[in-house]
Amino acid sequence: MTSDRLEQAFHSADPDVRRQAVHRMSLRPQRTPLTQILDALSDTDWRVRREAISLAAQTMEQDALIDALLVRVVETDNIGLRNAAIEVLGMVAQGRADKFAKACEAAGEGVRKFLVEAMGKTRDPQMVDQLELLLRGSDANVAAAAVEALVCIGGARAERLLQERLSTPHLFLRVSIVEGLTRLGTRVLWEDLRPAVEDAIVRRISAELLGRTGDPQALEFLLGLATDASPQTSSAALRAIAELTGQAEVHRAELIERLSASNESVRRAFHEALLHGDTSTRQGAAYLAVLCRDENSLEAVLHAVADDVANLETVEALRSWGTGLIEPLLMQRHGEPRVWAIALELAAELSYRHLDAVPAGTRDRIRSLIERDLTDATDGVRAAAAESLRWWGDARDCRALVECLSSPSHQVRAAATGALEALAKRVPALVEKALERADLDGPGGADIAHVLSRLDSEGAVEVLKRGLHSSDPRTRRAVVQALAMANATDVAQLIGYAVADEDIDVQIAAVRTLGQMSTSEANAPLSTALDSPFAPIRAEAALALGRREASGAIPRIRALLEDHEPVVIAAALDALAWLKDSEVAAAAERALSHSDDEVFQAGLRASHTLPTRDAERLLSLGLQHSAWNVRMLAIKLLLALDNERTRKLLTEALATESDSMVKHAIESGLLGG
Amino acid sequence: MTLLHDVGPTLDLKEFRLLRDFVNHFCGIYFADDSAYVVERRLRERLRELGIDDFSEYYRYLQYHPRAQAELEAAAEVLTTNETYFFREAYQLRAFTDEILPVVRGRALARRSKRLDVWSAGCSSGEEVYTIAMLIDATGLFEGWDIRVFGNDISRRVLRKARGATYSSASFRAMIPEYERYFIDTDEGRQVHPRIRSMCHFGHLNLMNQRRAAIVGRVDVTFCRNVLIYFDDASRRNVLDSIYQRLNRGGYLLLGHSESLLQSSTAFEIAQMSTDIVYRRPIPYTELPPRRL
Repeated sequence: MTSDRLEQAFHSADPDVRRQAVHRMSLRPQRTPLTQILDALSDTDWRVRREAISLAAQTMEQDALIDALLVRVVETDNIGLRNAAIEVLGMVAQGRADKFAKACEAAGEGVRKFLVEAMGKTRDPQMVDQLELLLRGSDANVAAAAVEALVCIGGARAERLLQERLSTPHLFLRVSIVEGLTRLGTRVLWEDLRPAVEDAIVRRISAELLGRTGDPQALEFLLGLATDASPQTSSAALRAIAELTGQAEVHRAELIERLSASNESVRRAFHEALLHGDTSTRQGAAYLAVLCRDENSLEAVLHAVADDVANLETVEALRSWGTGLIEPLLMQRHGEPRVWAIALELAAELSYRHLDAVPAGTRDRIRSLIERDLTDATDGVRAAAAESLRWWGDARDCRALVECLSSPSHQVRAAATGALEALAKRVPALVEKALERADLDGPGGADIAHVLSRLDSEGAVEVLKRGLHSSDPRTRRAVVQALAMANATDVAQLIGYAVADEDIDVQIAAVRTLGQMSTSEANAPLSTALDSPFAPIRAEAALALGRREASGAIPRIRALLEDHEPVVIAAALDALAWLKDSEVAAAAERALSHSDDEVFQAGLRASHTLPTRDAERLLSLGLQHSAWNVRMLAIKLLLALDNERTRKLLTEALATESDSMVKHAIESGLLGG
Repeated sequence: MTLLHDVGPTLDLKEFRLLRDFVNHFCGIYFADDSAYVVERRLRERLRELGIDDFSEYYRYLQYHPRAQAELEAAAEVLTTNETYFFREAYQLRAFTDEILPVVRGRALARRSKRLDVWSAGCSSGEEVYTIAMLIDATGLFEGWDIRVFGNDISRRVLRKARGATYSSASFRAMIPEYERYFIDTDEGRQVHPRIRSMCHFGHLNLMNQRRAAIVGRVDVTFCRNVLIYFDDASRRNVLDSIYQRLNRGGYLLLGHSESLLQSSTAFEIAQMSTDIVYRRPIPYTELPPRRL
């Protein structure tokens, strides 16, 4: 579009045409004069103003723009323009605290708060000096805006300033500060917070801060809020109590005692929250109910666990309850199956962990419940019974557990596999016997192979070999993986056949398994796999031959450096580096100009094996890469070299690094962390 | 598996970010760093299914395996949230029936057309699609019209449920009694009436795929409620571009109550309804009726 037509469109009566015109201007921002940008920012249509904000943020005339906007923020009555100006200032006015200070001085009382809002949006810590003055000033509106601005900027100094003003007599300001500190996640000391929460209005919004104090004295205030008529307040209080209790290691017992002795209305509020609260409230309520050993809430707590709402702390607290929990758990037997499943599993675990403290009668009851539920119609209950046999299982259970491996339910099979693996350590011969005639063609074929791999016996290998004929590729793959333990010539040949399996995952497993075997029989099928039509197979074969130090394969692996698939090139380069091939240096250099991240990373790994000077030069290329994970690898490898030059390279990289995780890696690496 | 035995491979921050970015590029969903634990728990299910031992290998699988595309879909499926119910956000639905539908009807009739197209973008298990169809039917404004409500989702599992049209009590938490007549009780739950079902269509569509979105055709109204909140800015803009392209001029876009286009797109204009604010694809100025003085 020509400049004339753009100009015409900019003055169109149709707001969508104006919007598109400003959008086009933002594609060539340097050709748009400041006056036009300011006109666009004051357009009557929000969409035009929004495009104008993007345009303004790109202008080269930043000082003039900032001056103009600082004037408009205080002088205009056009709310759209003012908001747009504040937003642009937030984007471009970093490092201009002096301009804001002058503008604040000149501005009238009613409009100074708008400048303060823009200061906050810059997120520039240099603004804090000026904001401190405004926070301490006499105008409560400006001070409240300064609170908001400090919250936007954040940081230790902003938090400290806000905390110092917590005891301000201005209620409105105190409310702003409490809300701000809550959002910042600040931990305020109880003695600093207490004067602020004497007021009922402030107290109602202080639950989170009270919870974060970690001080038992905060509990009384929170219990008061827990019975508040507003569900938001009572839920916030409950979550805060959970946090307070979770944090207070020294005073936890004292807090639990006080909570357990709380009145009926508090207990009702807790129970209600446990049943009907949102996820985080239910989480907090479940935790508190368990800490207080509230048997009446046990069913609801188990529901929360079944709903995946309870957190790890709650589960740990349930475990810490000890043997006193066993009977209440067993009483859930007639409840909802998924609740009973959790109760049974937990009862079995607790009774096993505290074997000596559990009466023989209770142990027998648990044992018979497990046996009964191992054939339950509900998968969840059956899985819980099988899971319980990890602790309680003995020779009698082998057959029943093997039957569980035929279940169509993955949950049941996984639990039975775990229990059989545990039994394989205690009674391997019996597990082997039970698996002798197991159906490797059924749904549990892969699980059976998994258990057999733990037995490490000739009998198990014979059963596994049968599994190579299974019609289910998952079983064949698991069998191939399990056969790695055999490491015998005839087995290597059988696994070699699997390189020609019709399923790619079986082929991959075969190549990997062959790579782990020490027998030389494995080399031939691995070399064949280098010609596979599937890239992952060629890659895995190259890696396996490299790991096996099969130097005879070097020429063929070198050829893979010309492969069209990046995964293959990367694997070939890794393999050649392991094989200490003489052409690695040239290949690494080429890889570091490849567009694929994986090839580039292989180039870095290969470079690391070269003489130090070459390695440093090549690894430093990784520091400039656009992908954060590639830079991370370069940093790791440079840190491994650790000399004066690599430290200098890393220090330079730190200055320009924008990714927080990568920055942290450099900083901690340089510190020797 | 419950939290009681929450075991399996762990996801370190580097693996999390690689997987997060990969999934984000595929379907727009974005997980902040503090969601690593959620991603770890949900993806473990996939690792178990594939017989993969750790997340690095899973990442390689997603990059290079011949079945990577299907696996990406499966990963997206376990990572998405599919919480929905009938007659969600009733005040917005009132704006749809009382204010938007009459306008859309008038425009269609002006074109001498008796067809109404509505798109539920990210329809999950179908409750929204059927709610829209029931609302249209109940207005009585569209007797004898060709009504098409199209719902799409990235999850094949939820689409199966949507096509089944049978729901349990959780889907009825905001049910409006006068619409009970559109359901039939069955042993499996309450099923949507066949007449309503015949108005509804479903498709497997990734909202990030602009070319595939053309399947939707041109629509009069798009519902995209509580979907974009799971997306990052760039993906949100991408999806909004698709929605814009699919809407007829003057067509409406309804977002969830906590969502706004302010930071994402200027292509739509705000349309103030009596019970809600919605968005609209602008009508060219020259086609607008003259202003009354």
